[in-house]
Amino acid sequence: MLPGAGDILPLALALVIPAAVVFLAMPRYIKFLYAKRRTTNDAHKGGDVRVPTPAGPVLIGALVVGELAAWAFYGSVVPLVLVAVVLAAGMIGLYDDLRGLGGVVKPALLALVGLFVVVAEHYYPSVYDPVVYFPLFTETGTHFIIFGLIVVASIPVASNAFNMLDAFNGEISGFTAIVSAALVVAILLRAYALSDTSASTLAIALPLLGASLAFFYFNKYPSRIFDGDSGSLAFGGMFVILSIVGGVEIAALVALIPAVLNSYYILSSVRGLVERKKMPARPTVLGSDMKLYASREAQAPTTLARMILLSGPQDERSLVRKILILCAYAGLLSLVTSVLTWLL
Amino acid sequence: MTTDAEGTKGDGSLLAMLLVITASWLLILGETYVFFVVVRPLGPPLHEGAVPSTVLKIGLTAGLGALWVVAMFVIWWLYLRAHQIPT
Repeated sequence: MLPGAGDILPLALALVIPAAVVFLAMPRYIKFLYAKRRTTNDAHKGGDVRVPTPAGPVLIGALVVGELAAWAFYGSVVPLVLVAVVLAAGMIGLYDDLRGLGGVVKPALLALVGLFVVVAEHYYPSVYDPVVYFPLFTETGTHFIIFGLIVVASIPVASNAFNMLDAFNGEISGFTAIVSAALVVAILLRAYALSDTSASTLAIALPLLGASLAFFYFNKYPSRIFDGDSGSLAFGGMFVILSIVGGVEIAALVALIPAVLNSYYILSSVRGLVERKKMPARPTVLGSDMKLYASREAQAPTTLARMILLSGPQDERSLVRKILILCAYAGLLSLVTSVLTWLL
Repeated sequence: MTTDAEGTKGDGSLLAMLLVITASWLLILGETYVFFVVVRPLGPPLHEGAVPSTVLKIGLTAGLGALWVVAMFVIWWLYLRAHQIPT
């Protein structure tokens, strides 16, 4: 059921409020981080260029405020589940930012967040529908256990995929804005086709788009702040649960293809779950001409950036533009998938 | 070298990566077809069927997932080999 005229204001506020929180809080928060000397070296610039990190706490706050606004407008339990997911995934990321977590501990903790969502569905069966709708065909049967296992596994997989795509200025914020836009369109098309999806589902998806678009302003080249694991895990955790509660899993998976390939190729090349800081070599090298080169070392992880740079060096801005073109293309394929799922 | 020339230098890789993403998407659609036309009709719904039928359907579905993983691995290996990067 498509949103009506009465939904325009709540939906607009669900988009604008998180963006406003980011725009208002981020400049002061950047000053705070500088004062506390919480900065890191931007490895893709020459010299010791310090950038404050992590932006996660502001991003988590913006997403929580956006979901609470959706809850205030529509009163469903789903935004509250999303608040819990964002807080839990964000806190895991924040602990990783401040103290560090092992390559296996982090996915295990994120799987517990997925388990929480399954438990929430068990007690409030309106959280999600344990059915997957496929393009061109139909939906699967209702399988609570199998679907629950997929939910538990998907949070660590998707969150780490977001985290691994967080290497260059504007990469994670641009990627999140693109995939969340694809998600909003997918939910809109589902709402057009099915009566069980309404404006309330759209309202819970819009905060991620608003927050990531606003964050792109601060994170784009040259970055004024980095998100840290707290930001990327909160984005990833929220995205995957949105795709599940919105019932648009396949369209979301297609939008995520660049991130999935990126993390899959990293895991294949380093042969296991290895923390970024402990990887044996960097995937890219900064040349004396300030351009990024693909590493020729056999033990260097294979990333999307390294694969693009194999045909020649690029400056960081140009490289990120190419990565975002790939993400936008996957977003377009996600749109086609949504059309094949809901309109044919 | 001009900036434009450098800008187009990586376009070959960009095109190749666009093709990889397209291949990945087409594989998802193709496997969806196999799932609904071949795997699903092999027996009654999981919670109603006998154990062998259930195991067969879940195994074949997992096999489709494994096929996607293997296909992406082969593409990655060929891509790095084409650029003479040891894997």
